[in-house]
Amino acid sequence: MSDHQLNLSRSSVLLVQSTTTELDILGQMFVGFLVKSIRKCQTVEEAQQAAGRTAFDLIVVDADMPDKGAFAFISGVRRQADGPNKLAPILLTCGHTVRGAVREAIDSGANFVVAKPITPKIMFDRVVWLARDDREFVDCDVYVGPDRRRKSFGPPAGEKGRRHDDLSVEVGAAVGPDMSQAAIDAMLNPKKAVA
Amino acid sequence: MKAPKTFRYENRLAKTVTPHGGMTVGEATRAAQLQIERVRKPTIAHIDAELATIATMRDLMKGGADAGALAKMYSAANRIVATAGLFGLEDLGQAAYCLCELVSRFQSTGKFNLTLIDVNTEGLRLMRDPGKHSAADRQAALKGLKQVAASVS
Repeated sequence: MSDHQLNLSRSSVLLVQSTTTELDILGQMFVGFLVKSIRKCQTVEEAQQAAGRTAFDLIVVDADMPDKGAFAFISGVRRQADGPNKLAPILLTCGHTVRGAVREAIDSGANFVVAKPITPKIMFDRVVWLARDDREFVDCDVYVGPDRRRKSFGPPAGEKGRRHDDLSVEVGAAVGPDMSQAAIDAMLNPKKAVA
Repeated sequence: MKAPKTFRYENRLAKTVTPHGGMTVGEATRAAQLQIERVRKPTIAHIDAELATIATMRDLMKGGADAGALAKMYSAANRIVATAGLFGLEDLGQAAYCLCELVSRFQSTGKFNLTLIDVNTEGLRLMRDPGKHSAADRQAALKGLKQVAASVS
């Protein structure tokens, strides 16, 4: 991941943090990353207005906003049908994480949760991760946001998959000869041919 | 009830990934670290103000638990968790995390013990000046703070 280069000079970032200190730290960090367009908000109301008007390339939200405002903000951004940030990458920052908060963050539609303190390296690595995130977007009654499944293990045992690309749990009849163990080994551990 | 939709979409950040002309993690980290040094002084002052708030809330609870004071103590400690580690006070941040955990357990169980709060505030005082204590002593103190928080269940 460290080999990737990012050019964030044309990106716009929305920072939503509950204290000016944290806003200033994150603001300086993104200035260091050469981001020129940084919008800082200290309340959810301010952030909602900003997110309703302008399309951002990245939104960073503090989980510790008063009254769990961060989760409502993220959920609101995701559910705004024609909102400019419905699909925007959203990073949630957490201090002391109360049990269930991470689950709540993911369920509200955040792309990623990162624990404080957030050093420049941690932030840059997470932005790289977000830039390379190619999960599908899910829009349904109970959830709007990036696919919460980060790995494809298929549907739970005994259940029919709901996605069009979920494979059936029923294995069909063989359509060709079985692979030999040597062929399987070669697939899993390919070796260079020796001349 | 609307039918669930899943679809691929354009990730706005994806266009920032470039093989050349961008910043590597090393370059970005150094530049950002230089930038955040500009706010070191006000951040340290902010941390000290939060420590003072914790001490004040502790004094308010000499006579017993107070939900409002516990909430303010938790918030102050949580703000230290967010900032201390960025300016060479990593152990202070961890001690503040332990206080958050302790207060959180008091809040969820309804239990309260001022002595356990005192152990934590003493730990915070110790970690505020890390140079006065060896790394081994600080680690031992942090281990103790974690055990104190874990003892409340």
